[in-house]
Amino acid sequence: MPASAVRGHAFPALESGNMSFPDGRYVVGFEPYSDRRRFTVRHRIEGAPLINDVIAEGLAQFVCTVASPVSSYRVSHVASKSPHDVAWDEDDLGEPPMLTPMVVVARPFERKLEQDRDGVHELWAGRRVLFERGMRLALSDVVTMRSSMLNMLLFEQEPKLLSGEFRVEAEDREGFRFRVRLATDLHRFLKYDSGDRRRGHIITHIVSACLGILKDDYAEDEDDEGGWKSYRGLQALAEMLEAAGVPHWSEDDFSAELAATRLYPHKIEEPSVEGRQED
Amino acid sequence: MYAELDEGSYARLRRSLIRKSARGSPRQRDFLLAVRDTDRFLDYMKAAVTTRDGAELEPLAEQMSEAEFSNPPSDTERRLFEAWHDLTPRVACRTAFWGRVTLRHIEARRIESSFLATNGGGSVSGLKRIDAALDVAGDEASKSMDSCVRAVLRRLSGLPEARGNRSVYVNCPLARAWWRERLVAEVATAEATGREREIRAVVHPENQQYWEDLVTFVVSRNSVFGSLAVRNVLIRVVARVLKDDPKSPLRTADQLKRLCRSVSTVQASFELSVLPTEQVNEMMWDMVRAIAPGQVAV
Repeated sequence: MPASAVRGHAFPALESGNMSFPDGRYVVGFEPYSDRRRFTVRHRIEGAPLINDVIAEGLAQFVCTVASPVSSYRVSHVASKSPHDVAWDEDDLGEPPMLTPMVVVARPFERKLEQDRDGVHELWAGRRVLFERGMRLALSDVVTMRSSMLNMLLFEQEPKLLSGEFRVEAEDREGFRFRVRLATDLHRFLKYDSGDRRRGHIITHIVSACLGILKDDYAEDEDDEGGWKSYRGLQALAEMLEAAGVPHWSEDDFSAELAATRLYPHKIEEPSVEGRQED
Repeated sequence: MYAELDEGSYARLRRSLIRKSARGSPRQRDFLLAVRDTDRFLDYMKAAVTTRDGAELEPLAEQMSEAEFSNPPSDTERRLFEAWHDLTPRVACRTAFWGRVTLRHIEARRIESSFLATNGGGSVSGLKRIDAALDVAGDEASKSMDSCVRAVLRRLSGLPEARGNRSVYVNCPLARAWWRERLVAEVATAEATGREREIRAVVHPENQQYWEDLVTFVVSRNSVFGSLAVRNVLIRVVARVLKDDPKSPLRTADQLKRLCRSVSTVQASFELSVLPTEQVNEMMWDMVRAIAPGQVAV
């Protein structure tokens, strides 16, 4: 393992891609209030005793930043205990907020690190480290309040559509979404999950249509800062597709229907034995 | 809620006009011909895009010249912000909203639709630019028409499809004015009251690239300058440097970018937003001195 993966900073940190705490895990939980403008954030550090110790000693604090870059908003909420609340004013946000939980040094201290006691990688063992105020000891991945494909769908009843019809259009207001206009009966059917398997098939169909729009209208990226990459929801979706092993819409071999069915495969019930006999 | 263009139909119009297959097409030509004539443009937009009901933002009282619209002087930007100070960032970051505001100015004849095609420097009028784009023949035709169409859409509301979230901040003159003056107000409120004039030297520079670079850091996804605390200190420090030394290297966009990168490097390990303002201030001056030696912290 390269030393840079362990000592990317001048101090050990628990973050994605950094092996300073080989058994470390940063577990974060969010519980929304009913107005969804406030969340309770729970931080839990596992396998990194150094971090838990310094929190207990009051040398480090919990922080959660709330950001909406599209409206140039980024505010940090600091707490000495977990859980703690974070809140925002909707008028400041141009998109669903991105939350970044972290643990930050609150008071400077120096410590000679020990592998067993502190849970650090052996490359840190025996080193005397000065921890300065503001250093990030633990950093969670950014959590977007809307990141999955289904959360990007906005269902809307369209009485002019005939029974069973729908159409989809992209909308980049307050982040990226797909407005799904549904005939009245379809809207009623999809609004609540009744457990009916047909719902899943229809959703897959809708997702396929949405991905088709991305292929037609968003495949071209004409600017490093622009195009679909400027929407976090789409970035998350592209990563989701990549993780699922299918190309995204800017790639030549992208197939909307394959991507849709990879994310939300049609679930076919095995016919019962009696059914087979009837066939 | 304020009135704004219907997001879906407006986005469809933009995309249909800028996609590769539209370059130099009759669609682009028709659009530019419409932009040449204010009445025709209003009809074109009315047919292509619906408006969502809501309160209309009052247009500026006076007519604007083409140069004033494409590059509003500082006092125009101030008037504009004062008139629209009730807007919230939630609304002001939206393309559909500014599209409607610009159209309102065209409807009220405060500006002509052809102004939308003017170039940034304002040295060539929008009408001339459109005519030149329509006159070009051969291989260059599609390129020149496409560039003109994009300029119009950028001025109208920003063009996020091509230029990302920063487009509304940097390309639409009315939105840009609002955001600049909002930054001035924000930075001045945070411990710099009375220093609005020197802050304007940073957020309303002669050089558009300077503003674009600043905004890129402000709205970029991973930027630390979205952090109000850090951003305010940065702008305040740069403002003071430029006031004390108008020839400071920090006047150039390249050096501003260098400073922003230095801050980003520190931010990679430190969460600057939780540090006391005095400490961030001190760090910022250290970084400034590395770029512009001899600067004294204030």
